Amino acid sequence: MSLVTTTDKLAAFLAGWPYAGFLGMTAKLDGESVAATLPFSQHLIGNPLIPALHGGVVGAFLELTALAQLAASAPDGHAPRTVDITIDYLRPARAFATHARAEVIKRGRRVINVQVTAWQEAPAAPVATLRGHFVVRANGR
Amino acid sequence: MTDPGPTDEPMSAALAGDLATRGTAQSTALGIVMIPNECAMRAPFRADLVGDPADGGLAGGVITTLLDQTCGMAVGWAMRGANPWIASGDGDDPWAAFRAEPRRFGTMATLDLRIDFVRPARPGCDVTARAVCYQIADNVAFVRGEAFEDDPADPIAAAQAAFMLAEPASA
Repeated sequence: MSLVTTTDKLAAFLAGWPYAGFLGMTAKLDGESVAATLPFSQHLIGNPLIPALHGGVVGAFLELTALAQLAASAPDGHAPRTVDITIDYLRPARAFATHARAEVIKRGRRVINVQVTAWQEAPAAPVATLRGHFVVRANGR
Repeated sequence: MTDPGPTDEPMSAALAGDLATRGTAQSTALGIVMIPNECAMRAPFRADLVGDPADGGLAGGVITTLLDQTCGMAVGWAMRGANPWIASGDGDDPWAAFRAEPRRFGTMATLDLRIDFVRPARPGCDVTARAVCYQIADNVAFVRGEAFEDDPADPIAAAQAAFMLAEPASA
């Protein structure tokens, strides 16, 4: 299958990664930028007392947003490999939908540095941010 | 003193640890199981939890959640003075004070979590994570964790986390 457009590549990424389906993540394109959404679901809860999304789920959603952005913009549509991520937790992610956007800080020949921000009510009140390094695989993977 | 209601009951040291240990809705959905008598838990392999189909192993996000929860459990263990990685040594016991007078903390919140993904998880394999809280200072708990299939010397990922421990509301 030849993936021509960024829309095709984004759809192929979301359909190809089973774990993205487990979380229930969705994404659409806003220009060249991936606008990702994680609808609230009971199975994402980590702290029932607040209640709040699991910190690992928030981190995973941020990482997947970065990978979706990079897959959508890759010539072959393949996601790179995650090397490291640092997640800063700024506010509890409550029982609402969460949104995220990725920004490519630097695109090197092998390594790409990405920053992702997640929010619920307003982009100005982020619930978490992620910085990560992603490596483009040899032979296009 | 009357028992505070469930909504404003500060998380006790025991409950903070138990949240991670008993399991959360998310860890139940992932099928995560506790490993008895260790600050460790395991995520069984499942096809619907695979990340990159070219690798075929559990997704990095599953490992992130596994490490986050194991690190949280390590804080609970430390607050109860149970920390086999450190306390088993002779001489100084950094957790003696916690054992002598277990502190009541309010909520426990993850400040940050860094994960190095050394390599992808192997296809069809369960992933185990273990963690240790190596210091608590100024109500910040510092934790290290690691994830692997069978051999800790052959890691999939390494984690470093900091947790803020709020004072109980009644303090």
